[in-house]
Amino acid sequence: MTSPGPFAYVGKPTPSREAPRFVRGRGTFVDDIKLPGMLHAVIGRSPHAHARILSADGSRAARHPGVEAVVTSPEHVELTSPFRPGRYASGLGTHVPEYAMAAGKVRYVGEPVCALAASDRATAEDALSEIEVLYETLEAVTSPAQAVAPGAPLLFDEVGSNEVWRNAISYGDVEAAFREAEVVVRHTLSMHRYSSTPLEPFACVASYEKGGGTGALTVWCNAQAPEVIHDALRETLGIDDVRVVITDIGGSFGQKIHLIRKYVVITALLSMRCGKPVKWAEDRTEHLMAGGHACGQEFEVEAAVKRDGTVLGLRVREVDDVGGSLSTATIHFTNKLNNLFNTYRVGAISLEGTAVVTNKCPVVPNRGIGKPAMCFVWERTMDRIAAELGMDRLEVRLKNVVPTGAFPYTTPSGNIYDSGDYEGLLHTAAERMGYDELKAEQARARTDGRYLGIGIAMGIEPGGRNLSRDLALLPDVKGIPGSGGTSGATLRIERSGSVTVTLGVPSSGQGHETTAAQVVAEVLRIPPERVRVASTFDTTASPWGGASTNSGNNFHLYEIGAVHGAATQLRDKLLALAASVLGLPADELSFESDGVVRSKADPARKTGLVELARLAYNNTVLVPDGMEPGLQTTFMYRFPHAQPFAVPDEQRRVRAQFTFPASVHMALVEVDVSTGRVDVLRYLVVGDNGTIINPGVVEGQVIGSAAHGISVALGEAFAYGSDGQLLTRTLRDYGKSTTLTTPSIEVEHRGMPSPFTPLGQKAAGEGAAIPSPAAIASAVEDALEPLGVRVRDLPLGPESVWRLINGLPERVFD
Amino acid sequence: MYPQPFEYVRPESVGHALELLAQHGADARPLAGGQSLLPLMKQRLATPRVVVDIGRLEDLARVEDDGSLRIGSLVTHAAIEARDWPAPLALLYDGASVIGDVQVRNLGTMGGALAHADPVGDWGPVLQALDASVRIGSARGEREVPVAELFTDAFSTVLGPDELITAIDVPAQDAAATGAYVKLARRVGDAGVATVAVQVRWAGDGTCASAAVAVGAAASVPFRASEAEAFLAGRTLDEAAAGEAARLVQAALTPFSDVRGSAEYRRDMVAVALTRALGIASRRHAGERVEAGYG
Ligand SMILES: Cc1cc2nc3c(=O)[nH]c(=O)nc-3n(C[C@H](O)[C@H](O)[C@H](O)COP(=O)(O)OP(=O)(O)OC[C@H]3O[C@@H](n4cnc5c(N)ncnc54)[C@H](O)[C@@H]3O)c2cc1C
Repeated sequence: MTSPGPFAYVGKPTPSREAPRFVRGRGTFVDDIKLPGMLHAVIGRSPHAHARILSADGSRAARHPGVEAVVTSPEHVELTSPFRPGRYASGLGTHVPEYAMAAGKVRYVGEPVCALAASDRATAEDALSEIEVLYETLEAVTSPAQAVAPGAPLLFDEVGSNEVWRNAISYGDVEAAFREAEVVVRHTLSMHRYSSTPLEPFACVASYEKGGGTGALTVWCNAQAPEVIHDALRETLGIDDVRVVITDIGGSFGQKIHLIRKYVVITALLSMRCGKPVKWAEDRTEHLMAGGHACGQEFEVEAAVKRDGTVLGLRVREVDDVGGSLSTATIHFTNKLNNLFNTYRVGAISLEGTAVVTNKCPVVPNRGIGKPAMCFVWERTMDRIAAELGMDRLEVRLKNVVPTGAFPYTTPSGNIYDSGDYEGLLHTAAERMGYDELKAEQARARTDGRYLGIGIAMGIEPGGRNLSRDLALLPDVKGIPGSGGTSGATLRIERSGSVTVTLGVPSSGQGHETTAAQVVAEVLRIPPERVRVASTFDTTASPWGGASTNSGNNFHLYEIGAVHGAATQLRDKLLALAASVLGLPADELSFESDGVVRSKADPARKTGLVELARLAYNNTVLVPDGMEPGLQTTFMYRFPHAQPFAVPDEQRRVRAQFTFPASVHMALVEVDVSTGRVDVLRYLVVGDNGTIINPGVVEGQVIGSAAHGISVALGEAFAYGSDGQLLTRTLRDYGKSTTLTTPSIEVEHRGMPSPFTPLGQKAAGEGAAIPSPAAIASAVEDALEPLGVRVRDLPLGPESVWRLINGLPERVFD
Repeated sequence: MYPQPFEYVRPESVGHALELLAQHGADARPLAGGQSLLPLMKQRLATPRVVVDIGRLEDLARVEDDGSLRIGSLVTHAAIEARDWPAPLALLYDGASVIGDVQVRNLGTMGGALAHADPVGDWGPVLQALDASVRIGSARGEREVPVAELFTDAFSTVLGPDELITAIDVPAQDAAATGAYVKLARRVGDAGVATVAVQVRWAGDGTCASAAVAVGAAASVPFRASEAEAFLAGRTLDEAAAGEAARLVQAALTPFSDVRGSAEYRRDMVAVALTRALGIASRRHAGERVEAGYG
């Protein structure tokens, strides 16, 4: 294929548009919004993991001076409708209505059961203890094994089992693969519950005004997917006139797609009850308890292998610990279709899984949603195969990756890997890391009693979104729930010649303004400083942007596709207008830098952006017949290469996502075998994100998501007692790594442009969070190889590693 | 989260502070750096009616050094970390440098930390190993209590509700003594899972004349490991001696479990911390500059 470019602005390190605002404290976050007469809300939460709500009485709290609205769970259920079941629970057999507050029963500590609004936050907190909720406590189940044991208490009586879902899918001839196998490698693996813990927890301001019809509701919130909020408010409150405004967001990572809707609904209901604006801001402990966790996932894995290291097939059985809600029960399983084959050319796989409800926080989409675990399965298995066959870990991967000449490559499940050079990534990483020298150093260190380990993992970062993916798992469902998706961008060339851009998504700090401005600059040949990108999303002003849910990953596809499309349309229009002004055919004109349009034949004949803009807006008689006046356009982007397999074929092949960046991670660690502490001495990411638009933005995404994945591996974790109480209620207890324990992360780009996107760009967001947990696991196992330690489970906090070294069972909290 | 409503008073002098405490008794809490009291109040785990802010009483913020050391109760962790201590007092640096993070060290005070009596607090073992005592004032008068006798249980001390720690007295140390405080923790900035402070007086032949061994973050209160101390006196501090001392410490220990570490892990880590602390004290005795830090 031909590479796109050369580029004038794309790929150049232009200064960040938003960073100065944030660094100077000039961002506008929800908590900065103050409306006249605004009240402050607090949410009352269940102290129990599992209980029936016997009664709730808010009357005393309602009389507390300063309190203006109280809602308890029974009233809430009366006053609102349940949410419509969504795609995070695709395929559940029994539908159990879910409201913003617990209905009849609480199923996790922190589940909302009441709320009130008062003149100020302190008064609201004082009054909250005066709402009396009576419970009949029930036995809590805190692990899938406990939940499916005979006689276990049921979370949802309506469903009749705590195993709420079971599914299986396979591609290729798995039985044949295992028949032909010379070696079968088996192990069990697991990943734990964690979260990206955005710096800014959930927040919302709701302002309801009575009036025509159902009244008008405006909410300001830090949700990352505005349409989820829009839908939720309409579904539950029955209000048609809803405006959603989203200003700066202090990090999302998927956490702010789903559960946040509950709190927006509750805040809106309080505003409806008292007729005043109401603000609610979650605190850290609330977020850790009830803001959503990544799913705990357990696996049994078998690999069919030939003696030369070739993997013929994989069998994976999965159990998901989805917590106390059905609304996201299946997403960690279904999402595995996205990176089902990771980077490997393997012919057969079967994936079988169950979702089990437990009395813990519901799971939510979080930085990869199941993809880090699918990658963990592959990468731990590759290391295991290498160990059992006595091969080098690099060599096993080189043997099995999709060969460089094979792109675009269609996996047996129907994903089409757009471009890639996995062998090149592996070789570059090994060279840059000094793999062979490190192995020698490791051998020397061992003789001094030091335990160095080298970790290797590779993964893909699928980008794009195909809602019909789940049909592959649900062949009985008729109709298409939506294939692909679209996002828009609105561009306006001002009469000054500068450009204003409005996007269909808010930004969570991923540099959307910087990246979008650069693309406009590229197409219109003006400096990026002349492009202003709106920093506020507003459903009454912004175009539709549902496709990306504002992940940095999808932004690079959908929003950038839309911005590129809109800028190209305006560029064509400028040319047509110039042709009319200059009296020359458009193909005799050249579009030059700074918005100059010039005759190719006679360079003295020219016009420019300012002149054309004035004409387009003010001198419409000079705008040619048939041409729309003005220089404003909205472009809706659709992924142009969604066929084939946009919907599943009879072999259930489906394109779960559309572009496939990849990366190789290598880590050098030292393990203190007395304490179990792991120090990461070096960490390298060699990645292919296709054409990079802004190197600083992409590097930020890579470093941030790698840092998180490393912290996930090294010990950040939610822990529950056997009574279902969350034991990690502060960031300190939760064990997030800080800058002091995060290694400096080296990043090398080895971009292969995508043939499917306008600039050759691929996704660039959560990618490094996918292989990094596996890379650390690989390094720790390598370090402890002389002690015969196998790393199967995360996280690897000091005590866990100490237990591995001493042959003790995993710790269970009581 | 917001505390329950409370009255805030800022006394002008230590005497005034003591009067206020006498007047309000158990309804009042002194506020020093606020690093423990304010989080507790925000979670409504502490609900004082009157907060007596002693934080600006200059008289409590001085360090007097005339051979023995008097550290005002309001001296911050950061001030102790920043001071140039002679070798026999390196333990003070060791302790200060591993407390929380920079923000906490800038505001948190030694007196506040001791009064808070967190079982994972770092000053308890460090000051016990230095044979320090606290000076306690009240409208009733003054008394002095060894740090080794200050703590009665987790988050409990011998302090009455009307009493203030005014200073911490550290007696003069043997000029050739060296020590080390090793804090084993899940990660930098976290609370310890086992911490050990040792202070060794060396005999002319390089053996240990006497050793103080204090253990923190493993039991409900920090404690001096007297059996281990008795065993180490007069010995060469080699690996075998350290191992036996560690065994004696473990025998005297009933560790607790929390999310940071199980009892069995803590028990093992106490031995590691002791061995490492003795090792660092020995190297310091040999003139090496060694960071003790997180071991
Ligand atoms: C994030 C974080 C991490 C931390 N990490 C560590 C750590 O690693 N190691 C560690 O040791 N500590 C740690 N701490 C606690 C820290 O050391 C606090 O500074 C200390 O516990 C309390 O000191 P303060 O001056 O802030 O006291 P305050 O919070 O003001 O008071 C604490 C208690 O002592 C009482 N009090 C205060 N001064 C006196 C006095 N002079 N006389 C009598 N009573 C008094 C108060 O009434 C209150 O009950 C951490 C704290 C935080 C917030």
